[in-house]
Amino acid sequence: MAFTEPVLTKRIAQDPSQRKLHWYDDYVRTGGYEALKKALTMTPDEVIKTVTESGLRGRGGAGFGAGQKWSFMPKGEKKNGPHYMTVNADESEPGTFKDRYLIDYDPHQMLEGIAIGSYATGCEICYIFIRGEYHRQAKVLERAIKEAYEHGIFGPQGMLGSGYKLECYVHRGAGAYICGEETGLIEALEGKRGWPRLKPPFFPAAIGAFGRPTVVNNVETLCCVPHIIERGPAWFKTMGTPSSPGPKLFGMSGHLNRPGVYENELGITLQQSIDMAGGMKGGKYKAAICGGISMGVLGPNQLDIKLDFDDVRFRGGCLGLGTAGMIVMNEHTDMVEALRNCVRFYAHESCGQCTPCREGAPWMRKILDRILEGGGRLKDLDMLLELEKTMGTMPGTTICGLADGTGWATRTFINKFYDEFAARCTNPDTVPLTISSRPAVITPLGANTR
Amino acid sequence: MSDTVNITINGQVVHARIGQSVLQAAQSAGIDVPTLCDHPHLRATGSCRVCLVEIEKQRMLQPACTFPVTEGMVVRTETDKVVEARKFSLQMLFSERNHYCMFCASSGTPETSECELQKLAYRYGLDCFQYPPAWQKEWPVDASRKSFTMDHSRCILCRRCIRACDEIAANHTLGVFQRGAKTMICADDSVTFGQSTCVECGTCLQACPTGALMDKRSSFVGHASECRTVRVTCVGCAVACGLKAMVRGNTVLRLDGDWDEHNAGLLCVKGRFESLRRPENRITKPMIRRDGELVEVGWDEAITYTAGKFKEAQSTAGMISPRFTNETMIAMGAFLNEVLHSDQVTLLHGLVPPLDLEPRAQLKDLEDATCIVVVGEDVLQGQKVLGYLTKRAYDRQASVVVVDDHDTAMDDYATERLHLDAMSRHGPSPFAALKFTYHLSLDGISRLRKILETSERPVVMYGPALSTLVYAALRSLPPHVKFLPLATGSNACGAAQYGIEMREVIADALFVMAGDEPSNGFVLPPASFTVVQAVGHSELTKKADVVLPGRLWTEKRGTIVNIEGRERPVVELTEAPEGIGPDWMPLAMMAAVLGRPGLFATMAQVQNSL
Repeated sequence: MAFTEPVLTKRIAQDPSQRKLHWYDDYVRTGGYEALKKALTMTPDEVIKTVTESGLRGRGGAGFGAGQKWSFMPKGEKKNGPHYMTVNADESEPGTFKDRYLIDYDPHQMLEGIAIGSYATGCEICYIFIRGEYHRQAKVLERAIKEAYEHGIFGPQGMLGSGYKLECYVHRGAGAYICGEETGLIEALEGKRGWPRLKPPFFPAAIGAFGRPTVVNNVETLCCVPHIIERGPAWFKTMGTPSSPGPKLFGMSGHLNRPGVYENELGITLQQSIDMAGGMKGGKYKAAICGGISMGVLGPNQLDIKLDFDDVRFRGGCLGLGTAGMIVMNEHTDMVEALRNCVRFYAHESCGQCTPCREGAPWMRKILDRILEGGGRLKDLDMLLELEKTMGTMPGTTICGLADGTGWATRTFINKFYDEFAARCTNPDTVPLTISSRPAVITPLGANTR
Repeated sequence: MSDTVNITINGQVVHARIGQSVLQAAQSAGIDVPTLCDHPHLRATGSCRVCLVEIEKQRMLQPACTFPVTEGMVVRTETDKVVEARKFSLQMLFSERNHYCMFCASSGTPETSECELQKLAYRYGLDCFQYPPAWQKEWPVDASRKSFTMDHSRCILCRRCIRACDEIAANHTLGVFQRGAKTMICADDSVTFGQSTCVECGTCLQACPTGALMDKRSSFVGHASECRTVRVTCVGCAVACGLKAMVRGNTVLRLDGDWDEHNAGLLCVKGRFESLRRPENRITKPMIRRDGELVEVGWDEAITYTAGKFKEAQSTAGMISPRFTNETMIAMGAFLNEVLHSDQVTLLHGLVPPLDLEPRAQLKDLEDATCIVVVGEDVLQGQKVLGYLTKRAYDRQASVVVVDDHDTAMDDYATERLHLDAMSRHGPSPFAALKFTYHLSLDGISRLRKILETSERPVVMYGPALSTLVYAALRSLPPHVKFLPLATGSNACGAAQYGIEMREVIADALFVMAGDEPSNGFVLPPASFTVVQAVGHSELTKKADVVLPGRLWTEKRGTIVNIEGRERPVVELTEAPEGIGPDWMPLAMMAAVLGRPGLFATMAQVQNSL
């Protein structure tokens, strides 16, 4: 465990006034594209092996092994047509803004990662699917890609004089959260409605964009790749925990003195991350959403939870680390209001494909609205827990993971702050009812809906 | 046996084919897995989440409709967990929109309900709202289509209608707009259905599991359980689609496409809706024109009067609508030839191209054809079902070649367009349709030949009235090319079997059997005496000297021959009004008066011998 210097953000100054965008010349001057040159002397299999050995786990939320994902792509004689590399820059999870930071100041780092990843997986074309609201970042990327074409990274003349050719395009999303789900992203890329695809096939490496094998990676994952190639898996493993090695960007927001993106290794404690961002502002710590709101919330006595892919899950009681977009809340935060805000997001962003999510999320929102307006009863909480269980946390009730996110947010908020929720549910009907198969009829919620 | 696997469903060993879904395997073994969004003839989308099942070694519940079977799979369809998730989905669907069943036409008891959602509610004992409906808005009812309505408040967003529109009718009118709970089915760019590109084929209506899509004619007048369901044949055009008719008492309530027939559930607006519109002014009694007015008389008087006129006439001719059955065609031919000793029998309209081009294609060949050539006929106007099948071929990127002399509706779906030259022989006449021949230039023929030779499974649909050279060129195509003759007129192929086709006739006395011919645009050749047998009053009866009543297609019995060359049954669905016998009855009565009693007594034998 030794995080001595910034890795992903080594070109980005801590002081906001000193930060500047690194175009091609700046990037090369600071050692850029050396890793690509090294990777091109290796075989694709060696590149995949190196990344697998490093233990790099996907930084997009699920934490799936990046090298393992690449190894699913057909190789050698099994390759019978084009492969696609797709970069998931549709960063729409509330609380997450790390990819924007990377693209904003150091776009070539990602392009180098793309070049290495595409070389390893035999992709001919790369699409960068960027969130629609990222206007500036899309322009930055387009200019950076143009530079890369001019300097022989991409384009038909072959990558840095080698025989390997890669085309790279930016595709801008149209503002749907669901397009961050990898199969939803592929559908949107194909020009269809961004509805997640059915599983199986479980991985787009079998059938992805345009019916061809596709690898979908997060921006930060790809940014790690040049460093692993350059400095080796053993160095990478000196950071982080054995199961979650490497550096990580933490998007710190909420009641903090210096919110922003901070780089550190995986496995620092929640307390350390708060200190990193200048400590609490306006009051003592109460709760922290650990990785974008889909992962759930960490409670008051969980400051010692290690922020890696496993500890948050097993000891923290959340779905996982996610994208490490931390929203830290102080003691004056209204948790009911906070949960309602989360659930409102899911009700708005549900794609409408599967019944449980399409209807379950608006239902939760309506119940929370009613609680906020003083009409809550204790059994409403049981109802919320029942809803989150059958629609979200019971796996498989929907096609994609959006409902799971809704479920985990609701479950962790209510379980960890039950007293606070119960105190708001003061309507006369105070006997806590578990929802039986035949509940008492409750008043229609329509009148209370915002 | 390598293409089958053994799986266990609820402890029962089931043999399933590789490629089947768990749902299909269960259904073929008689295990009922409930589902709402799945339809056997549509692609599975797994979105309603009602068919969730537990599969061993799968971490999550999986939708049975999309999960493929693998060897040794162990499936449980009714565990507590499954039922809980399933009931939750149903609860959500019920609370989503206005599902107050008692106001819905599909509603019924567990046995009689036509609504698949309601049936599942009965099955899983949903007797109250666990999540009481919390909507404030009202969902629109779109009744702008002529024949059926869309009530959005009954919609469960299973999107069967969208898939039916895309995959079966290939019309791509329906889609969704908005997302999440605001998702709505919409037509085109969210216009009303009546203004949209909808062709009212009604395929979506047939696929809808609830009462969201409702037929205007049949809703609120009876349940399927109170009706007879009869499999019949549509006589709208020469495709002769299979129908399932829902008949209550003496009324046909609804027609659905027969999934098990050659049309595989597909119908067009003509067959599904327009064929049930009743003639406004039905003729129920024979009529004779006296002093310029038609006067109702008895059958005997009308027949005696007509027979007398025909006996006096110098020359006689018979004209028959192609909507009549083979039996009536034979009767008409026999009556003219044997009783009146005339060889002038013609179809009222409808042309048949040469039927000797082999091998003859079947409709199912269109479903996997790699190339479809349409020569000299606009299938989207005439035989719409063939048009839809061709559009389906276009969707799966088969090549579609349209060969015609004018712009057709098929042009939008043509990958290649060749031009026919129209050659006119005479000026206008009552038989205008016979005056044109269409010719494809030699360049066009060689291009067509090249396209067909390189295609793997080509089908040529050829219209009538092409030049002899074109037919000769088609006959000389390689043997893997299949042919489908585009006869116009429902039973024109059947009539052609018995030597009746459209030709010019000149006669003093004319016997016209128009039957339930829907259109009025026929011009009869001049004759001093005209008898018209028809269902309703029209331009034809205005000029007739004698009018005889006839039967609607739902009142007929017999057979017709379709373009595939198959004999298809026409079954009586309703009883004809009193006094109106079978179509050949007036012919038999006249034969008796004219000295040939018992001419049609041996009708069945004659038919068999032919």
